[in-house]
This record gives sequence, C-alpha cells and structure tokens, in this order.
Amino acid sequence: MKPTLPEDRELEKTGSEVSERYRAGAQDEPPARLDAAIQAAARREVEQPRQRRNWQMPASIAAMLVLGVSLVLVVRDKEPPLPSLEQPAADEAKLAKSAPPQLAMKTPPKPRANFHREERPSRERSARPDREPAARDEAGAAQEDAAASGAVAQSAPAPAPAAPAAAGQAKPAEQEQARIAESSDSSPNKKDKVLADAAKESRSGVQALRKQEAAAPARPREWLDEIDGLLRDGKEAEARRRLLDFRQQYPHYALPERLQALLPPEAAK
Amino acid sequence: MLPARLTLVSAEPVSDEQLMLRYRDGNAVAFDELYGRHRGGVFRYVLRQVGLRSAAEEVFQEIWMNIISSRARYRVEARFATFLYHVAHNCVIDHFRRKTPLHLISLDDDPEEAHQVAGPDRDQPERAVALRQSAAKLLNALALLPPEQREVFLLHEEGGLTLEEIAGVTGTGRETAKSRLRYALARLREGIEHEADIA
Repeated sequence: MKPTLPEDRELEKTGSEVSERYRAGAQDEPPARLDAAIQAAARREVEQPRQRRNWQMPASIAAMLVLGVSLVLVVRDKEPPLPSLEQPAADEAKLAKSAPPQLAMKTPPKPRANFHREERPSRERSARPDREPAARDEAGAAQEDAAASGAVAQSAPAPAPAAPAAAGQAKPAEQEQARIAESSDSSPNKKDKVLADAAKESRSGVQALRKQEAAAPARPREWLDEIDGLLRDGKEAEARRRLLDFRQQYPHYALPERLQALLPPEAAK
Repeated sequence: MLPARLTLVSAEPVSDEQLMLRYRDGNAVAFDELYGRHRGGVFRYVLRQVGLRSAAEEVFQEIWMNIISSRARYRVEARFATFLYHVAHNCVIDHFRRKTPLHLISLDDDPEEAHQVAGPDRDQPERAVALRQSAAKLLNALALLPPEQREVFLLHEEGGLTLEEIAGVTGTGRETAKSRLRYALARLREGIEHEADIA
C-alpha cells in the first residue's frame, strides 16, 4: 500500500509496528496434503477437455428455438383467418338476403381495411346508378345538410330508412346471385368478373348501412329529442313517421304524453 | 513449501495476472507458481477469521477450487490478489452462514491449537519463544477485534491490498475501509501494550 495522503502515511507508520509483530508470528501455512490436492485439481481441470460445459450453448439454443416455434404456432392458431376478397362480399350478400333489416344493421360485418373503399374507382359508382341504394344518397345528403347547417339533430336519419336500405341492398344481391347462377356455364373469366362485381355491390351497400347506422341516434332519448325538434319546426308528418319508426325499434319504451298523442291508438299503447 | 520443480524459471518476474492467464490457457505449472505465491496469505486470512484449523483448511480448499473452476472465464480486470481475496471473502462469509456462531481461538484454553496458530518453532529457541509470545499476544488481540476490523487488517497484511482494493473486496467505501483499518491497528497496539503491562 503506497499512502498518498498525510493521514494515510500516518496510518502506514502506525501500522508498521503492528505489522512487524504480526509477520514475525504469521507462519501458518496449509498442510502439504492440501497443496497436493489443490494442485492435482488444477491439473485435472487443465487436462480435462472442456466437453462437460459444451452442452450448455447448444442446449440453450435448442430451448430458444423450441420456445420460439411454439410461440409462433400458438399465435398463428389464435389469429382469425384472413378473409378472402370475395368471401366477405358473399357473406354480406347472404346476410342482407337472409337476416331481417334491423338485424343486419345491428350485426355489421367485420370492419375491413379501407383500401376496399379507396381502391374502388369512382367511375364504377357513377356507371351503375341504378344499383346504388337510395338510402346511401339520402344519408349522404343528410350528412351534407348537417355539415352545412351544423344541426346534429337534423342530420341524423332514422334507423327506419335502414330497413328499406337493407331491402334495397338485398335486391341487388339477389340479382347478382341470379346473374351468377345464370352465368355458371359461361367462361371462367366472366364468372370471376361477375363475382367481383357482386362483391363490390354488396360492399357498397353495407357501407351505406354503416353510414346510416352511424348517423342514426344512438340512444332513444336522442331520437325523441330529434322528434321533438321536428315538431317544433312544424314538420308533424315527418315527426309522426319518425315516431312510428321509433316505436317499431323500441316497442316498450315509455313515450311522453305529447308524443303518444301523435301515434295511432294501436301503436300508442 | 512447494517443490522446486514447480516454480517457473524466468528472467523477469511474471505477474500474478500473467500467471493466471497462462493457467487459463492450459499451463498448469503457471498455476503452481501462482498458488505458491498466495497459499500462505490466503490460508492465514482464512484461519484468523474462521478460527479452527480444520475449518480453515476446508474454506481454503473451497477458495482455490473456485479459482480453478473460474479459470476459463478469467479476464484481467483488476489485480489477481484483489480477485483472489474477493473469492476468499465470499467463501469465509459462506462458511459463517453455514456454521454460525464464529468460534474464536483462545490461545490460553487450547495449547494444541495455540501451537498450530502461532506457527512452527524456530531454529533459535529463545528467539522463537519471544516471537511466539509476541505473535500470540497480537493474535489474541486480533481475535478480539470486531470481524470487520479484523478482516480489513488481514486483507491489508496478508493480501497486501490497498484501501481501495479492500473497499472493493468488502463492498464498502474507501473511507470506511480506512477507518476500520485505523481502529484495528490502534486496538492491536493497545492489546500488545496491555499484555506487556500485565506481564
């Protein structure tokens, strides 16, 4: 120990006397048999090949591989299968055909990537105006009005138009299916084209339904407020129609008296 | 002592670290040289703390087995002595954990043990007796030190470690190590003087 500080030097000086005495008697050493045993162990360690530790690295790599592969398998099994391009369209068409309109609204198909909507050329939409659901235009117009006026209540179309919309959606789907059936004996290319068209049509119908659903009042209270708004604006016929839709949607909802008066006796109960 | 054939013949003294590196690379003779340099210091470091010679031999063997088994992983990051006494410190602690309480040697109670600890006889009987008496007093005082102070003193005396290295081995700060060493030296000197007064 080489002291650098003064107090360290003092410590060293103090210790030197003790150290001298200690070293005079510090002669204890390990026995020779212990020396021999330790040196023999040291030689054995050198002479032995290092095979006994070589298993650790391959074993750890193998364990990591097994873990990684099993994780990948587990994750892959749990992932839902990716929908094909035409499968969802067929499902949607089937849903629109078989399910009642409100049910179809309540159980929208799984949201898909936006590229379906974005990739569809706009000219296709304009080229087939007869197949576009009317509700789509209504919903779009209503939303545009709402954006212009800023009135939320007026912008929301009722869920009732969704029913005709769904029906309207179902019709093109049926037509497309019939067309597919007719063209079953035609060339494969044509068949594929027809299938793709049907898928696009169904998708556009479902998107219109989604828009309407999004625009419709989410809760009965909001719906009734909207009807009140119509009454205030003097649109009694429209209010009555919307109230009937409401009653159809919520048959057991307790209506305020002022609104019950609008309904026919059989619907007011 | 080691047989002469085990010592390395070299013009320049090889450092402990170089010897350990050579041993790591498969040179068993290098280990023998290294062992010869440190066997006495490590043994006394253990014996002064553990107390019983049989227990000290057990711990001593464990220390060197640890050094041997760690040869493949050895890197020169500090002085070899620091590494060695770090291992020794841990083995002594493990020993105390396994076999509490600490058994301190009383040189008066057990003449056989006192003989073992005090060391072999010298060639000159009177001087040997004087040295033994002096060493016995010091060892008595050393045995009465608090364990932390005793360890710091032994690391300083047997390992030749600096205050920084002692702090590193014991897991304390430099000032703590210095304080412990100062107290240890003071008490040992007091112990020697006290024994002399009584005599």
